[in-house]
Amino acid sequence: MTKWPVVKLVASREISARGKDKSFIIPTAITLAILVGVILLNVATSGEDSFTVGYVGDEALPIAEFVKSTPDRFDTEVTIDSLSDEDEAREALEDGDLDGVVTSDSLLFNEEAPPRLEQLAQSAYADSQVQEELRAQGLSDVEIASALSPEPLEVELLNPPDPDQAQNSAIAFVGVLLLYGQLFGYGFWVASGVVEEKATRVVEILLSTIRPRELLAGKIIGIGVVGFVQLVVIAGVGLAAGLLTGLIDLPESAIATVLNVLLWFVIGFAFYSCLFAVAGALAARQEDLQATTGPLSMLILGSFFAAIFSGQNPDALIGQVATFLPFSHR
Amino acid sequence: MHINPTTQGGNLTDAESTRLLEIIDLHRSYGATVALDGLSFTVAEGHMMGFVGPNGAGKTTAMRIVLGVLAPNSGEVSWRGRPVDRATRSRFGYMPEERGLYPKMKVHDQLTYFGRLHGMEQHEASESARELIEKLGVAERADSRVEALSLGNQQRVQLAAALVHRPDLLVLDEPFSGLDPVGVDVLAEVLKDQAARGVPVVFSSHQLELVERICDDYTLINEGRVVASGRVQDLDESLPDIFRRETEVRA
Repeated sequence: MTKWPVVKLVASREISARGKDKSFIIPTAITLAILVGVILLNVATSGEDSFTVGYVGDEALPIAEFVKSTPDRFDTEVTIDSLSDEDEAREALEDGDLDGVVTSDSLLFNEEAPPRLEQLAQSAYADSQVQEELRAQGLSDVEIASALSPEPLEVELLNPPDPDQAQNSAIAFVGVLLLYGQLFGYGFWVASGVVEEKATRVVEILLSTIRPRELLAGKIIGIGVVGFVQLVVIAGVGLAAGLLTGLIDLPESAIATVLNVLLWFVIGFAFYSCLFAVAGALAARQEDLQATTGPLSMLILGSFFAAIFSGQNPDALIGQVATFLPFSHR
Repeated sequence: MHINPTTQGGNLTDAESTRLLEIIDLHRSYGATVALDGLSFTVAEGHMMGFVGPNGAGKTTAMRIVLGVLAPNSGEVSWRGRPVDRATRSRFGYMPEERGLYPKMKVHDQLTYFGRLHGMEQHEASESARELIEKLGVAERADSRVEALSLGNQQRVQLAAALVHRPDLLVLDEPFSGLDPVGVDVLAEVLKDQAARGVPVVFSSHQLELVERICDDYTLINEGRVVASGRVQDLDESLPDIFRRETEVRA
């Protein structure tokens, strides 16, 4: 018979011992800082759909203006800038002030041609050539305009993808990554907690007082609560930052994915922590832990890769098989 | 001297005391090594008993079985005439030979925790821990981590961990080893106080001289069996050499 008040006592000792530990507080703070940093960075660099294009000489102006006016349908913003000669253009490109330069007969880029910008410039050039040709044939501007902008073909998808899929799988990827870290990190804490009690011999006093399973249950629950709270904080901050910056634009499914990750942490931790406790019981000293937890690390790593692979190939056999195995995440 | 341990209590009339702890015919082997080979003894209310024997005699194994850390292959431990169970054992106090505490926990927090594990309420455990800390002279270290204490002070905290829940029985494995003469006197006083409260005290020692000085009863064991037992004032001068020699070496 397990006495729950005893389990609760052991668990609360674990929580207060771990929660006050610098090796818990500092990594949590660093993780949060990285998370917020990555989100902010993502938002800051997501403006790459705007280009500054320079043009050299009056002959290049029509093409530059074409580039500027065509993009509307691509959500691409282009500003144009007049340059006196090609040397100035090369300098501005190398300094990064310009994304590209149009001359009367060439396009200049620095290291690589941004594909969308190049495509825009090429089709602008083609259009301007066609326009000139048509004008020479005596067509009016209205006729030219209608000839150049035919009604586009209608596009029909037989199996349209879930519009939320990209965001969902991105969040799921982060979730699997977090799960892997939490399960491994906190599982290892359980193992080293078991070894600590053995190595310091305090276990002899404990076992003369309480049952081994009360000690184990308390330890797992206590450490699990610390891991869960940390996960909630990280997920909460990540969600809040993502929503505030507009990076996440589907709050409902993002929250559902996060809840899913939390649920799987509880189930996964209940499973793995017991295995880690076994690994701890097999080691006599902290130094032996690497060896006894080795096979377990491989198992977690394997299921992590299976989860990542299945995330990219949802219909693959491995995903279907892993669904039935207790040690895989998702 | 009584060779048959089951008649050891014959030294005490029923009017003098009640047998509380009874160890009955314990057997325990580790693989091919026999640690206990039919060990039996009893401890009476308010008595202090010295448990003497050379290394490997089975003292620690016997104590671990009494505390339920280890299971015997056969035999029984009873308390007030009934086989001991979890509830009874939670009223026992134990100081293992391998000293052990949580190194990173503060002294007072740790003792309170042990008190609570034994079923005390928070305030009760906290108060008892504070009293013991003062009595054992480590009051100024109450909020220090155990790992920061000197070995002597760690030993005192270890003793406090055995006493914090005001146990009905005290079992101490080599409690005097590593203590200086002052420490020995302090510990002897604490144990006598406990016995005076009616708590049976059992401790193991290499030092027969010490047992003669502070105990009421003695039990000599060798190779997992009782060699001799009785009241210390009846301790025979012609004890087997093995115990006397041990005493001289230790003293």
